[in-house]
Amino acid sequence: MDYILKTFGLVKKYKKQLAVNEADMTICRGDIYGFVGENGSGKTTIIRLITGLVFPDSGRFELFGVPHDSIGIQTARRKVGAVVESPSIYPNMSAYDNLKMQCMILGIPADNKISETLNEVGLGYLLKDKKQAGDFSLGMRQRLGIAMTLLGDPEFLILDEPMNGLDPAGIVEIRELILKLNRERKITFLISSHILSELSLVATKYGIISRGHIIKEITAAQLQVELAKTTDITVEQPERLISLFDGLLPETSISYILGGIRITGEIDLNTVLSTIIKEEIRIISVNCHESSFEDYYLKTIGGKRS
Amino acid sequence: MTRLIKSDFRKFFQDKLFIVVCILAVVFAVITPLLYLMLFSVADEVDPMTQELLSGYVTAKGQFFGGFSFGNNLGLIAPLLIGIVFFKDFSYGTIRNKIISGHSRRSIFLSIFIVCTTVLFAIVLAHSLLTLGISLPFFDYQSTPFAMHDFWYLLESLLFEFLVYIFVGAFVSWLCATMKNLGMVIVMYIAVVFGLSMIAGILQGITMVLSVEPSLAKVVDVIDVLQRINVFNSSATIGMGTEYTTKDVLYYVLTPVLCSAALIGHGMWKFERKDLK
Repeated sequence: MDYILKTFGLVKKYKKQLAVNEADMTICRGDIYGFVGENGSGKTTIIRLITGLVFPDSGRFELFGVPHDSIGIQTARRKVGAVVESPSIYPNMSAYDNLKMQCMILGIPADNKISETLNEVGLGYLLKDKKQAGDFSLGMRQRLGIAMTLLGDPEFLILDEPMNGLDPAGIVEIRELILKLNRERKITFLISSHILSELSLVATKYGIISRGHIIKEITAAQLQVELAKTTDITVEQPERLISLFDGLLPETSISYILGGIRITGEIDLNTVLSTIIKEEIRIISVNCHESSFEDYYLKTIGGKRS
Repeated sequence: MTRLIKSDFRKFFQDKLFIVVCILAVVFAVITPLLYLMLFSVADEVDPMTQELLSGYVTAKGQFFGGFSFGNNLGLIAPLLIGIVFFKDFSYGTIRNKIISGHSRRSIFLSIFIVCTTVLFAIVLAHSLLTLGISLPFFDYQSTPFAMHDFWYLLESLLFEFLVYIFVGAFVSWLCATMKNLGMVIVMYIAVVFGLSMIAGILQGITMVLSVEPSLAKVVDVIDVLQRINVFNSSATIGMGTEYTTKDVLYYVLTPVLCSAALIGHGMWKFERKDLK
């Protein structure tokens, strides 16, 4: 497995407050890692640690296999692009000038790259516009921030709440951009977001953080299984049910529960119930459950649905 | 680091405060000789003797070197405005772009220092040259005829001024890298630069008064030491026509160089450990 980022027991304190507590996370090449957690859970602090803006009190991490405290970390960081909290742009400069500044910092030629990148994030119309970035809408600033990170052809892109301030059309565009960059340029993403439904449309892996600690890492495929529909059927002769449905319900799993069975996966309930009735087995109760990512998240962090 | 220096220059020239500093440099260059001319005309009306006495002190050379002073005019305002331009990198969060792009914090600090010192000295030098150009048609360069020796003296004095500006550049960079907000940068700058340059001027005056009294020789010695370790001491005396002794040269060079080295060293050390938002 080709790892982009691996953290080992990262700890960060701000004065006496513990912001990150023994955080372990792994991001593999090609992942779109959805980073989920409540406000103040430590998402942004972990992003700051990875990008070198703050320093860990203990623990360590490796970026592209390079330990964070080695000399090579600066070279490794050149493969990273990041928008941390709010886009880092000069409000007194135009979109073009902001990108030109970033090109100078990166030491790359500006001309074609700037127009290509602006087009890529849907700001191509600003190429010759002298409007200052300070007068942009929040959504335009977000896109400009992403454009600045793309200039260096990063292999790993970190976006902290990229959907913040975007209108519905903007959210769709950014989502499509993320998927396109992941597919075509093979960019690995770390995306923190509060919009779980939005994140679930792009993420291939999730990290759930609470009180500075990463309590669960799960792939999108594993999550699908966890979120699958369950149907609990209780009957008078539960032992007959398993043999009854053996091989009849593909792509589902059947397990015993007290007084009946639990079928996990999509089923045609009418067919299932009529099969039971045909066998003259008396049905006591039928309960269908379908949990959402929100339910799963709240259950994982030990919270309650409001 | 060349990339950082280029981008810092570009950032500075794109900022509105650069235009403000340039306007102030021109305005003060025009105002200074004008004020002296007004003073002369008033003095002439009151007492022609006073006017004659003034002409011995008020020279184009004095106005040229006065342009470098940190206690008034451009010398006081320019470093502050330039510091604000560089502090914006921290308040806008654009400093993050440099760190995430893989630049070391040491290079970032040194780039700020180099660009800050260069633009500061270049602007103040241009301002002083403009002041000299405007005042020369109205005032003599100095009370004695200009000789080759005066040319070398001018270069020597400019070198000492440059060393003080290196210190101010280091101090402004140190403030940017270590202070948390702009308010603290402004307060610290005014307190240290204005305060120390005022103290340098006051101590110079006190020494002149006390040195006539032999019984106060020890006090004068103590003040002399205080003066020599004040980095702005050279700026308060440079270009006034006084010949530099070897001891003067030693302190004019050593004090700003050592103070700048201490600030740069501490600034880099602190910045390399600073958590950035």
